[in-house]
Amino acid sequence: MTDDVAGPVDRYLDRMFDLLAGSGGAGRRALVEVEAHLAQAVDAELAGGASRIEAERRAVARFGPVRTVASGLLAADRSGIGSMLRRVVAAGWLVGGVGMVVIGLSAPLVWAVGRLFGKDLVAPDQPGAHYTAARCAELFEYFPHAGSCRAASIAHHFTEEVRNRIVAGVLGVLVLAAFWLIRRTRRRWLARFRPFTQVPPTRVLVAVAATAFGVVSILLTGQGLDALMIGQRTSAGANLASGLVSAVAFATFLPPLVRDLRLPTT
Amino acid sequence: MRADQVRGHLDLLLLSVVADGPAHGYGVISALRERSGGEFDLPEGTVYPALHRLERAGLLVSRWADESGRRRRLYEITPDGTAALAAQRRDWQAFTEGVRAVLGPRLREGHAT
Repeated sequence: MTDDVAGPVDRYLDRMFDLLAGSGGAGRRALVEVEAHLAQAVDAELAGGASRIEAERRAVARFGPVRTVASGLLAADRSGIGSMLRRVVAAGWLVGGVGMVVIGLSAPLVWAVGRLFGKDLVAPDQPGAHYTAARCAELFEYFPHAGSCRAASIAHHFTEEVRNRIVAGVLGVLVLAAFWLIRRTRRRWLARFRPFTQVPPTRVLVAVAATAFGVVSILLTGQGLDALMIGQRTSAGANLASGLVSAVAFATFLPPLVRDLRLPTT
Repeated sequence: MRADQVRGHLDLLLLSVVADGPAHGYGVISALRERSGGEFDLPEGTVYPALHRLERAGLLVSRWADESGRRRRLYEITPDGTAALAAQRRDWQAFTEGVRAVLGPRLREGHAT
């Protein structure tokens, strides 16, 4: 932990910890080795008459730039294309799970938009769309009090839109729960999947998630606003609600991303 | 000697040090410095990626050991590591003999002038 009284060695180890994040047991072992090495180097400097702070400074300087050492360790402990692919799967699993949860969180907002401003702002029914008699009969079965076939269709698709988002959210929670369970399980049959939960370093995950949510937010918000500006309500509310929730997710990942980008390079 | 020149031969040097007996990273880098008369003064952190790489290649094995209350990772050479070291020593010897043969007369001339 970094605090006001942390010396050069602690700061170096904190930074090393950040850089090795996500490297699993190999990274943890490397960190213990580095810590023991630096402690011995400091002892040697102290025995030579250096002050504590000077001893730590010299030990860290002799050890080398933290980024160089950490990237060397990560490269040395990397096991090739298989490991890389497993990390991609793990990253997709995690970021995908979070994305599904975010879609789920957009459900109440989409529902509120439909209730407050009209369900046609959410449903994808185009104005002037043609409905067959059979389809109309089916839609009226779901919504017998709808004034028209189009109104019944919009009500039906509005319900579907909200329901699908809730289902995506629940699935996202299950996907993340499975990830968590596999990482912690002692059951052998489940532990076989553990290599697929070996995620890339946290900073990579954060950068991927922030970029993905940022891009999705801009695209959906732009699409929604564009539709409203040309007077087309179809799905505009759904896109704006999704854009807003994506923007919140982006804002959640932004501080750790900025923190990492502002970290010193040595 | 420049650090990048040493790095090209780091595996050979590390195997050679560890072949003398189990050693942890700090001990390995200290031995390198001492045995080279201070010539091989690498950034100390560079030794760990190399040790890990050699372990992954099966040329070293490692285990935890407690030394004066401090947890250390001790590295030992494996039979494959011993064989690799012998092969690399032969290659190095042939290389240095070749270099000496080419540079030798000029070096002597240089000394003479």
